[in-house]
Amino acid sequence: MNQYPVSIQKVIKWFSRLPGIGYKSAERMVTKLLEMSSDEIDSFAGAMIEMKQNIRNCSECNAISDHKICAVCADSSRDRTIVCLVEQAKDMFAIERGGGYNGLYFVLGGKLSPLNGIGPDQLAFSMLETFIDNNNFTEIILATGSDVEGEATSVYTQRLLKSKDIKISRIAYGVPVGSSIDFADEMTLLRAIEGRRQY
Amino acid sequence: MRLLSLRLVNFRNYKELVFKPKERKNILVGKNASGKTNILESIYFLSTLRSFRTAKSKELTAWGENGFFISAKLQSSGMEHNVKIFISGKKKVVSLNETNIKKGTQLLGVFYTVIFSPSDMDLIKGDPGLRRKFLDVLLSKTSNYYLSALQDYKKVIKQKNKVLKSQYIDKKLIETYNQQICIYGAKIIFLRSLAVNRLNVTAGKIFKNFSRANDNLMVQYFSLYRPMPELNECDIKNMVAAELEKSFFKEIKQKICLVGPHRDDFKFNINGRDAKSFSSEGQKRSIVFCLRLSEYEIVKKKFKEPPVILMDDVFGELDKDKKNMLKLVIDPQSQVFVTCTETDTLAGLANGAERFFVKDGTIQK
Ligand SMILES: Nc1ncnc2c1ncn2[C@@H]1O[C@H](COP(=O)(O)OP(=O)(O)OP(=O)(O)O)[C@@H](O)[C@H]1O
Ligand SMILES: [Mg+2]
Ligand SMILES: [Zn+2]
Repeated sequence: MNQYPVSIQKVIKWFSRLPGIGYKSAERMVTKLLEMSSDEIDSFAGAMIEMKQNIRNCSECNAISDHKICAVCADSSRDRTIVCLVEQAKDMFAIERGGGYNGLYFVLGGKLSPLNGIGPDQLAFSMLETFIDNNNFTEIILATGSDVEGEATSVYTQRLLKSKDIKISRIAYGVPVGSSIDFADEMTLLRAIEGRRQY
Repeated sequence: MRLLSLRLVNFRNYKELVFKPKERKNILVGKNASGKTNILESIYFLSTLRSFRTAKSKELTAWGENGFFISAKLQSSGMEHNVKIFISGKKKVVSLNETNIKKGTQLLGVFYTVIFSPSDMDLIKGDPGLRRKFLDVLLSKTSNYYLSALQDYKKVIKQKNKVLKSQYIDKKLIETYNQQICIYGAKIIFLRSLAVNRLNVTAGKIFKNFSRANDNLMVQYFSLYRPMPELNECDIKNMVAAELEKSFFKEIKQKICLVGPHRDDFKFNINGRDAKSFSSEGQKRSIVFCLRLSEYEIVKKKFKEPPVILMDDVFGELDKDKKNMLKLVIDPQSQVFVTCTETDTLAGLANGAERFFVKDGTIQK
């Protein structure tokens, strides 16, 4: 059986390591790369190297950033009395895309799951405490996931911060906006009813 | 609910089988090891996506093959449904009406089977785990709410056990899981207490007819190491919380979760005496019969139509009176599958039944 030259096989292998990319997609990507000019390839590879060199965690909120302090923490127009706790930086960007929230964030770096070797020490809880002590937040919104582990992470955080002078709230779960009630699955509906609020 | 037709490929000793049962009583006659129980097993599999004989789906694949396929035409809620199941190694594809489904919950209400089998005796003689499993199957096959609480609860227990086994124990983390155990645990205990209560009422009634001596059968639910009455969910939550607090250090010392519905049990009493220790084999057999018949009644009420009854080898063991009794308690509305060997006498049960002869992986009328 005839195979691709080794240098091509190598790149295909690298691409297949990325999430959602199988051999076929990797093969297509490599075909496209081969059509690119040397300059293009240079800037593509360069961008990856630059990304890796510059990206670090914000020293305040633990979000990913290409500066010591991330864009949100550095933005003086943000509301500094409220902070939103998320599991991953991508959750933060998801909320940012919504555009309605103007406070700060804190990125925990995951969710509690001792079974997967993730206990409190593996997450940024002590950094969170420092962050809260160094700011004048009046409220923290716990925006971890609605699965069992996300829920446990919120409960743990609430217990950790109980003694601090800060209001602790949990995001609501409910029916997706713009959809009719009968479209939501029954567990979502139950959650929505449990988490109802008064008018 | 009805099984209209069944097709098996490489399932146990069936290479390829098409079986069109009758609407009511079906009797599967055949020698030992001919494949009668295998048929019931495949029908049961359609309703639970698991076997009643083994936890390993791999064992269901015909020897030397890579996977098995079950497809069936079912009837429920006045509609026909096509269910197809393909399992090969870790791969599992289930479709309902030509749409692949990801969660078993999407099959809720489509098909329910009540199985009577000789191993039911273990419900009395065996570990509490078997009785919990009985309740869990009944409740999760009738309520997605229960199933989701149970799945969440099991995850929490696993996480907490892991923490309890670690070198350095973070007390806040234990408290966190305890708080979750209260929430999910209370839901489970609440629904189980309702279910056992209904079993108690129904099984008690049926047992009265079933036993000549007019004996009293009671089914009693035990949770948190005590008889658990029917309380509201909030009171149960407080009880679980109190119990968790009391056992906080004991759990740390023993490195395992001691408090919660994963330790539940239910017991049978005949005239106030524990059936496990004091009843005869015949009485035990009658108890499990009544338990299954109550399961049938509860499910019928829930879905407003009779579930399918599977009876494996239960006739050799009953005396003639009981067989005739059984004929009376079995709902004439339901579709029934009964296995027996040629020498078994079915007494009144055979009336109006269609006989199918099972021989070496084939079925003939
Ligand atoms: N995975 C498998 N592949 C092929 N054959 C199997 C497999 N598992 C079991 N068998 C065979 O199926 C037969 C047993 O079938 P089954 O348990 O349905 O018998 P039965 O008719 O109920 O017998 P009995 O009257 O003794 O209860 C046995 O001969 C057994 O060797
Ligand atoms: Mg058998
Ligand atoms: Zn920041």
